[in-house]
Amino acid sequence: MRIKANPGGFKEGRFIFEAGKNYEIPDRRSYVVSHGWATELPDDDPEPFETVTLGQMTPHAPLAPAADVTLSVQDSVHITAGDVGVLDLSGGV
Amino acid sequence: MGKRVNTALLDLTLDGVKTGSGSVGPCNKMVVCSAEPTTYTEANATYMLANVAMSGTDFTIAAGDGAGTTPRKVTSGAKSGITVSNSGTATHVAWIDSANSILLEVTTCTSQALTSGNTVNVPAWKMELGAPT
Repeated sequence: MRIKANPGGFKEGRFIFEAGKNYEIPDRRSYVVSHGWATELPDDDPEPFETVTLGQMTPHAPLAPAADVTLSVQDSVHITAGDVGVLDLSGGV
Repeated sequence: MGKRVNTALLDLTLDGVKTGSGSVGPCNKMVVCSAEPTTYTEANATYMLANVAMSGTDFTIAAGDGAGTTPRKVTSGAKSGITVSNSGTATHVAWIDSANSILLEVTTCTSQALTSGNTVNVPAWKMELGAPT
């Protein structure tokens, strides 16, 4: 499926559809959509385009679930007080 | 003008995770969450996908990896085969103190879909405390 899409509606690098966005934008840049991912097409691509909205497409899905998966966890580094959220311990949160 | 902190003072905070300090801690449960929890209830219930019991022996306090920048750290050991209680996408991991209903520490993880009844592994991760700046 080919669509007209707003490049600003995608994240850079690997383009990820964002919920609530309408990808029908007169920017006229073209993308190929497959399983929620998009890649840019050459301007002279002869194929016709189809204008769609997010509701018609499969949104980006996270990694497929597996029976036994291992998370990739980032360390928590407290450099300054401004770098972390401060938890309010009063009232037993 | 320099600013300094005694590493023993930093360790008091890390001890709060490992052994408990005052009315805070120790951490007795690690929780995998579907969103960033900001309260104990959110970590332990609202966003909880999987959890595993923790004890003091699961934590190691040592010199930080950032030398003078992060003088001290506490590392939680890896936990494998944790049963997924609720389906969802894991985005955060937290240490909690269920005895005192306290959310102790929250970190992030790469988004990963989890399915109830399956298992999840959490590798070792650490909380590092920085020097004053």
